Amino acid sequence: MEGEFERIVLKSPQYHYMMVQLDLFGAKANFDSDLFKNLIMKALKGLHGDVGGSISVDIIRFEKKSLKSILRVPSIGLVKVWSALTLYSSHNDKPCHFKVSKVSPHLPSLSVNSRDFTSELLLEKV
Amino acid sequence: MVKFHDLNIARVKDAVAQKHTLRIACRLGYEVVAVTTVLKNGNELTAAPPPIELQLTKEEQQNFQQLSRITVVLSDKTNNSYLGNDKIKSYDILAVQPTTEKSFQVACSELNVDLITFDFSTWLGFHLKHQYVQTALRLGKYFEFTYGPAIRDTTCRRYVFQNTTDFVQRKEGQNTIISSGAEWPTDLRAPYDVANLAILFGMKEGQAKSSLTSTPRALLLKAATRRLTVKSSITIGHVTSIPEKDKWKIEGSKPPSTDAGKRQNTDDHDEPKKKKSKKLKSN
Repeated sequence: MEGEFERIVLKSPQYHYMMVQLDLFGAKANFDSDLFKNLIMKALKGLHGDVGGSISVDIIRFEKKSLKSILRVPSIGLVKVWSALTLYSSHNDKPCHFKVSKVSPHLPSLSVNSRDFTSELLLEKV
Repeated sequence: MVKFHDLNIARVKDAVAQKHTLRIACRLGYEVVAVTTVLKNGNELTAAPPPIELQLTKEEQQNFQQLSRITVVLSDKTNNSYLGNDKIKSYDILAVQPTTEKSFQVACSELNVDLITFDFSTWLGFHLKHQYVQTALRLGKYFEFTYGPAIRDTTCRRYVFQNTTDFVQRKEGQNTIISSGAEWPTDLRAPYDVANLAILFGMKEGQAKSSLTSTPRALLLKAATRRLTVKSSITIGHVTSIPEKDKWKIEGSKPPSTDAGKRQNTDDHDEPKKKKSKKLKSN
């Protein structure tokens, strides 16, 4: 085992991972991961049109109770997806707010935040 | 550490909603916030209102700073001589919103203001001439974009993007700040979200973040020189406001007490009279 190692150099990441929570300001709604993905697509198409709609966003984890999720976004489309989520302000005539809490090219770094030591590891599998 | 600024939170009559907006701004990570009063034609000018009391934790209270700002809506007919008024000086930031080309020219070149805002939610009605923008930048003035209309209304979004990209193309976001113009807590977005929006407006990544951090900080320093100094070189303050370590500077020049002064005056009066009588006798 001595001296055996492999060095992997990541120059430009292919994907970015975002931790996003949907805040409905107290309104109750039944969401599952399909509906959540629909919402993201609607936001993308609403701001960036067909070009936005072509960006493939994957939901890696989704928690129904708190509406928190982890998304995987291709790095080329990160700015578009992030801005679409920021500007999406109403769902079914009710105000809503996509809170983006973490963005990173590395998935493990979403689990720990050095500024806030409560870890959010316990998300249910979809 | 870098502080995030949101220098345009609209002052709303509903006190509960206002407090809620400010509390959410604090929780989203903004450390310096300015509450804006808009002054249109015909409205009364009042002195700056006191900062709104919020129930924050001790840590949040230490970092969170509330400032007051006034935005004066200009049109061709307004008489701008009152901008040096004491009531306006009571506000921390003075901003001006031109609605016509002439008022834009006056705002950029003549008026002593910190910030020039626009209502980007509709077509401006006039073109932003490069010449006037250059004058304003040379005089150290700042420009502002608000992203609130883009969130509130999907139809306004198009205009916001059109106007901001048009502006950024000319000078790449130099001396521009971005703020929310939030009337409701739902209009606010976290600082990094806004920095990402700024990239969409056409700014580069570094400039996008500095439009929320270092540029508004520079604006606040400029506002302080406008309010507190004479021609940006001299400040006048009361004797009681001098810190302990500097008090030696004034101790040498204490004014004399009133009794000693009176005695000196009477002595001076007697001497010249005696001199006069002596001269007459000799002649």
